[in-house]
This record gives sequence, structure tokens and C-alpha cells, in this order.
Amino acid sequence: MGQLVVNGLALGSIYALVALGLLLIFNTVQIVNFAQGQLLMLGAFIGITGAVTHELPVAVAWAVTMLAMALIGVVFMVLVYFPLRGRPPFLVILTTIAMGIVLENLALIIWGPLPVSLPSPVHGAPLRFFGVVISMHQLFIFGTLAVILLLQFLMLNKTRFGILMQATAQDLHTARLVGIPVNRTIAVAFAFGAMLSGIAGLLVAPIFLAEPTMGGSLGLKGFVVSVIGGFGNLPGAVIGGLFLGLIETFGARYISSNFRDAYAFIVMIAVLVAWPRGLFGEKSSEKV
Amino acid sequence: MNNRIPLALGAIAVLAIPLATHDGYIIQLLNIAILNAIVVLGLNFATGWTGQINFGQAAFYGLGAYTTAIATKAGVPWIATPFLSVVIVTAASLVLGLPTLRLRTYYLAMTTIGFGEIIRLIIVHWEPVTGGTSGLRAIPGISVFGLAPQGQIQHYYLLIAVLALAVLVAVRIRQSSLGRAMIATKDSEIAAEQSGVDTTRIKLLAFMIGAIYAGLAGCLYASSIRFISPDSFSGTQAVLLMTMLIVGGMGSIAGCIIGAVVLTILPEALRFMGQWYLVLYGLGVIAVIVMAPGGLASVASMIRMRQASPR
Amino acid sequence: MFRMSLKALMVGTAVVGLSAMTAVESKADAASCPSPIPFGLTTALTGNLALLGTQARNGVEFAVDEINASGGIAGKKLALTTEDTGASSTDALNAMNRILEGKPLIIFGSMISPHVFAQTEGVTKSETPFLVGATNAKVTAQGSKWLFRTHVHDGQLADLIPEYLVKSLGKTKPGIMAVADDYGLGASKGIQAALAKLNVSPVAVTSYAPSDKDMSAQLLEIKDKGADSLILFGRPADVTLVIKQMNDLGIKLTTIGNASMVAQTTLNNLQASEADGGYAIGGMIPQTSTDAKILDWSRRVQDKYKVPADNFTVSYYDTVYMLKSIIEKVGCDKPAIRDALAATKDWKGMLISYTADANGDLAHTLGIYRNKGKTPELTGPIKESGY
Repeated sequence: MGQLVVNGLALGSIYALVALGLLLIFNTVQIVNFAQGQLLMLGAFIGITGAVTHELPVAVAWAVTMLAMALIGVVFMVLVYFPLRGRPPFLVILTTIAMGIVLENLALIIWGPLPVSLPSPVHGAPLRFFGVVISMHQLFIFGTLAVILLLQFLMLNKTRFGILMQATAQDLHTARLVGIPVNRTIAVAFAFGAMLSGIAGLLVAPIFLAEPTMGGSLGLKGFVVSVIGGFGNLPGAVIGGLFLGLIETFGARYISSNFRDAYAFIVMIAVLVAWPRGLFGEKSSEKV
Repeated sequence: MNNRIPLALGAIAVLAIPLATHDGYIIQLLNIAILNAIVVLGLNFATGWTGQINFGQAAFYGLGAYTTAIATKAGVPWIATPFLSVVIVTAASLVLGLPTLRLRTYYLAMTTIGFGEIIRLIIVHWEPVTGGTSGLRAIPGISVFGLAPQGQIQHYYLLIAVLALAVLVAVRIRQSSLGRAMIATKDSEIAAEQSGVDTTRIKLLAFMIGAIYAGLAGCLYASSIRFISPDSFSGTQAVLLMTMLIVGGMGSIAGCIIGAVVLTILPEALRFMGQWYLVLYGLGVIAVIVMAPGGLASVASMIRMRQASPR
Repeated sequence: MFRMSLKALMVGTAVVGLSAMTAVESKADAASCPSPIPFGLTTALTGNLALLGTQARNGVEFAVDEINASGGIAGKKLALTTEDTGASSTDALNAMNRILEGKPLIIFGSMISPHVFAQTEGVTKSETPFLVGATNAKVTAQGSKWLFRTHVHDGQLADLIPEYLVKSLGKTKPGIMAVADDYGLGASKGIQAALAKLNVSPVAVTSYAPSDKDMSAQLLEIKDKGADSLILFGRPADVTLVIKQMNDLGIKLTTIGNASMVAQTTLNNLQASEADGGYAIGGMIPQTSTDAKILDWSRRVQDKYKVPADNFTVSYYDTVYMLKSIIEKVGCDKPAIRDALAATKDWKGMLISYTADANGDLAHTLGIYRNKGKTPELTGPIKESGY
């Protein structure tokens, strides 16, 4: 059973990372990016192109991937956010879904459908105690999540830029009126949001392999996590993610492995019925 | 009054298509397009008019199809199946609609996606009843008091008639107080409430009517294509239905039909593009949303407006 | 005498003329073929089943190109029309309708059973021989006399895998893990039935969605319930993950499964220590052959299509050549071709021989494989009982 906990938390950490990337963008521009999973996939493939195809050292491949993802995030913003400013949210949903379809199929054309592996940046024998196995990579996942949470907290609350981002999220128009470089702030949000998903992709590829359709399911779970935690709420997302990972793993083991995907949705619907604004409440309120 | 002549000509053209193409591939494709159009018309009630995003429409379509297939294969006479389908999808729409009434856009989208997934998983794993992933084949066809349409062309005319009926009902609803209440709810729920509209009831009704459209289309799908499997009612199909609505013209009845026909025929016509077709499809949807948010149905009026504006 | 001679002359001429006509007719059977000879193929070239579906195209196209390069059949070239079925059965139906419009002589269907189920009625109505690789056991039970299957199917696998596991490997407490699609779930049911006949019950029966990445819950369940072996049915992508995770968790079980266990795409992503020892029973693959010509063929197919050839590639390739020899004998008459297919006996393909049974199944020989490190080795062929 301890093994289920470890595996569930590792999986949940990935979900949490996807959700964090999603929320970074949402918190700034009120858009839910339904292509976040495809950004994860791109991160994985760019990492593989670097580390496997071009045989760069893993650390370099990671750095290159993160830079590439930041760039992709900005391009994404230009293609999706700017043209749709002010449009009803559900058109934005459709647009990001369409973007996800484009990215997935471009990936299929560029890299082909065969799954590929990415070596983990960490090596070493797995830890074993009390019948539970924790691999080095799983520890690396936990570590990365912790580091990112810390960095995100520091950036948002302790740096000037982070505070600007929060201001932009609160009220775009006022922020602009006050002279905040709104567009730059938004660009950074998209860049970081894409980078977070890219990191998730780099973490996922060594254990789950990378193939172009990997983004769909992981992205969906990321949204579910965001909903459970309450949109806008970062700690909520992390707790929600870990929680979902555990539920899926335990549900698959003790209830039925057939309905694994359904557990995520059932939990989400149950949470929403009881707390329509998510477990921890969303930050923003609907404008009248 | 001006619309009557082009409308009549259009009707004649539609009725004459089988004479040009005979039985076969194109007619079957058009039959599928017509069925999709009915489903999209249904989607329009909840999403186009009431502003409730709904990714569960494919699930209702599937529920209607499976109810009909299971019933007719068990020996139930066909005439009962439309009613059975309506009962099942109405119940399902209440299950989906009641808890979600308080939800806002993104939460609603996720919930409807979840609903669709759960239904699909049940269909896939309830193998003894639904045939699982192999699907159900040799489904008995439409048969009313011994009369049964034979061949794709007869089905075509039958489906055209059903579509016409669906359009008529939609038009009447649009012009009724129910329709006005729906649009008011979409524009601003708070304002609508202030004006005395029971938005909860309206949203639920919109969901139900939409589900009924999809359920009946599913019934006809099972009885005319006579083979169903869960992959025809998946989340991907739900997204496709939504894009048909948007590309055709959300809120416009003609738009629903245009969108369904275009996006049923296009993937077939562009098959030679292989993987690139989906890239093009995605970019095309984005282009339509960005440049012509009223969909293809609005393009005609946009052109007219441009021509009319003084230079 | 003159009158008799006239009559004799007339009768004689008639006899000679008639026999001349029939002689010309029988020699013209193959020559009566249209030029080019139209073949149709529908398979998944895009969508989530494309990885599988393209193997059908690879096998058929490679054979067609080879035949055309050496002059075609009876001097006539083959024209192959391919339609993409995409991922859904509705699209598969549309693809079949398009192919039928071209009135092909032969139609190749894919190995994706839901698609073939959707297409069978239409093809049967068109009275065209329909050659498929679809592995769901019920595909040939549809009662269509025009449908023939030239690849081994899940019914055979479901019988042979449990038998080998219990009788040859001596394992009596298997856990079952199958991918939750038509392929896996159908096989899982068949395997459970076959195990019951051997008086063995599986300690756990689990499945995973095709897009699932984490199968540790299922593996832990199987381990916790005391299994001594694992029967694994999936596609190369997910089988790779199961094997990796089994190793990561330190679970050591004798593993036997379908051809995915020894597929190149699986082995490419595994370490030698992870893959070693796994068994597979399935359609025969070319990579383990000792015949240099077959290995060369396999390499050329991989060079051309950038993916390794698998058991389906071989089967579809064989089918084209089988049809070539049939057409050379009976010409381009669809009923005659159908009858010849139904009468096939011991036709030698690349790796196995084909014999038609009453249902239209032609493949009855499977291979037993075991992974030595990352290289599969052929333990031996195994035949369906009765062959």
C-alpha cells in the first residue's frame, strides 16, 4: 500500500505541475488553456531532440528546452490571446482546443507516432524500505515540484515583477492605466506557463515515454486538478494534484482499473456540486 | 418575402441531389451530415442560444443510438425506439443538467467533458449489453407498420424530412417566449433574472431539448447506418460537434446545418492530405473564430454589409 | 457421299470452331483482366490507430510495387487505391464506400476489427473478395462468404497462450492485464475462458485505458494477489510501459503476451535487463528468421517506411502474392477468386503456410518467441489444434 502512495504522489506531482502552468496563465489573463497538455508534449519532444538526437548533455538539453518553451509560450500568446481579447470565454476554449489539435498533429508529422524515451537527469539505484520502492527519478519529481513551488511563491510575492503580475490579474484595465507594462507581464505569464508544462514533459518522458498524443490525457487531468483546487489557487492546485494522483492509483487498485479516468471526473463533479467555486475557492469573481 | 424564391430553389436542389449522384458514397455521406446537423441544431439550444457550453452532446447522441440498437436487437418494434431514446436522454440530461446549473463557463465545460467520458467508459466496459469496443452490428432498420426505407436514397429523403421538422421546431422555439428567455439568459444571466426569467428552468430546458434532438438523431443513426461503436460518440466527436456549431454560425439555425455539412464532407474531401488535414482543420477553426465569429452563416451578411457600406 | 461429306464438314467445322473458341477462352482467363488490375485498400493512416494501421499499407504496397517492377500479373500492372479510415468506424465506412466506387477486383481491409465489422456488410453486398487482418475472433463468424482473414486471430491466441503457460511453463496462478480496447478486452475474455477449461483461475483480471501511462496499480494488485505469472495483451507502446514499471517496482513474474512483447518498437525502448525472458505467442515476425532473404526483406521494408516490419506487414505482403498466384490461375473473375481463396491449401508464404477453413480463416500457425535481452528468439512455431 505504501507503494501505491509513492506512485500516486509521483503521478499527482505531474498533474500539479500541469495545473500550475495552467493557473499561471489563467491568473493573468483569465484564459483556461486547453492546449496545456500539448505544451507538455512539446517540452518532452524538444528535450528528446536535444538529449537523444543531438546527444547534448541532459542539463543542456533541459536548459534549451526551457528556453524553447518560453519562446513557444510567447508565440502561443500572440496567436491565441491577442486576437481573442474580449471575446466570450467559450470561444477562447474552442480556440485553445483547436491549437492543441494543431500542435498534436504537427508533432505527429515531425516526430512520427512511435514512442520515444528520454533518459532521466538522475541516476542511481532506487531506494527500498519497508517493501516500498522509490526510484531516483520519482525523488527528482518531488524535488522539482518543491523547488518550483518555492520559486513561484517567491516570484509572485517577493519580486516587483510578481506583484505586477498579480495586479494585472486583478484588473487589466486599471493596471494599464497605472502604467504597468501589461503586455510584457502577460508575455511573461505565457512564457512561464509554457515552461512549467515543458518541465512536466521532461519529467514525464523518462517514465511514461513520449509520443505526440500524450498531451491530451495529462492536460485534461491538469484541468480537473485546477477545478478541484479552485481556479486561481496555487496551493489548491498542488494539493488537488497530489490528491487526484492518490485517488486514481488507489481507485485503480481497489475499485476497478477500468474506470481510472472516470475517477478524476467523478471527484471533480462531486467537489463542484458541494463547492461550486472549488475546494479552496477561486480568486477572481465574475464581472457583472 | 424575398427569401421565398431562393429557399424554394434550395429545397428543390436538395431534393434533386440523389438524382445526380445515385446510391452510394456521397448519399451515405450526406445522410451522416444530415444526422450531424440535427445533433448540432440540438446543441444550439444550450450553447448557441442559452450560452451554456456543452461538450456532452456526443454522449446524448450515443445514448440514443445505443438505446435504439439494444432495443431493436432485443426484438422491440422500431416504432417504440424514438420514444425510448427520448426517455433515456431526458433522464441523462437531467442527471447532467441539475448539478451543473450553478456552474460557470470553465467548470461547466469540464463537467460536460467528464460526463461524456463517463458515458463512453460505461459503454466500452458494459460489454455484454453494448458490445464493448466491437460495437453493435446488424442493427434492424427503420420499420413503421411494415414500411421500411431501402437503400441510402430512401433514407436520404426520410432524413431530409426529419431535418425539416427539426428546423421548424427550432424556428418556433426561437420565436417563442422560451427562445427569447434563452437568449436573454445568454446575454446576461443577472439581467435576465431581474427581468423575471427563471434562468435555472431555462437552462435545464435548453439542455433537455438539445439532448432530445441528439437522442432522436442517434436513434436514426443506429437504424440507418446499422452499425455503431463507441468511437463514433467520443470526446473528439463532442469537440467536432462544437466546431460545427461555431464554424457554421453559433445561434443561427442555417449555421448549424452549414457547419454540419461542411465539417462532415470536408474531412472526406481532404483525406488525401493525410495528417495535414487535422492541422488545417485546427487552423481553420481558429481562423473562423478570430475573423468571422458568427461563423460561415454570417459571412454572407458580412459581405453584404461590406458592399453596402459607403466608401 | 458428297452430302455426307457436307454434313461431316459442317459438323467438323462446328466442332473445331467450338473447341477453338473454348480454347481461346480458357487461355484468356488471366488475359481477360483489365489493365491495370484494380486493388483497393482501406486502413488507418491517421489517428490513434495509425501506428498499427500503416503496417497493412506497408505490406500491401511493398508487394504491389515488387510485382509491378517485375512485370505485373500476366503482363498487367496492379493499381492500388488506398483510403484512410481514420480512427472512427463511421470514417471507416465512408472509406469503404469510396473504395467501392472504384469497383476494385479485391479489397484489403485493416487489422482493426471495429472498422472491419462496420465495413463487412457493404463489401459483401458488392460481392468483392475482402482480405483482412482483423484479429477479433468473431470477424470470420459474420457469415460473409466474401471475407477472408490471412492473419492469426485472438481466438487462437486465447487458446494457445494459456495452454503454453500452464502446460509448458508450468505456471498456474496467472494475473491478466489487457488494454481496454476491442483487441485487449476480447482477448482477455477468451483467455479467461481457456484458463477455465484448464482448471486454472487467474488471481486478478485487470485492464488499462489505451492512453494510460501508469499501470503500477494493476501490477501491484497482481503481485499482491500472489501471481506467479503475467499474461499481458496490449500494443507496443503500452506494453513497453508495463514492462518498464514491472521492473521499476521490482516485480518478477514470468510474462507472456501477444506479439507486442517482441515487437521492435517495444524492444527499442527497453533495457536488455527489462526485456529479457519475456514470452510471446503471436503472428510470426520476420526479425527472428535465419533466412538471409527474409532479413533483407525486413530491412528494405524498414528503410522504405521508417518503421520496422511486423507480423501484419508479413501477412499482408503474403496475401498479395497469394492473390497473384490465384489470379494467374483463374483470371480476374471475382467469384472464381473467392472460390479459389476458399479452397486454399498449404500455400507457402514467407514464414507460414496458409490453408482456408470453413469460416474463411487462412492462418493457423503462430510463433512462440522469447526475448534474450533485447533480441527476440523464435522458440518454435505452434499450430492451432487440428492443423
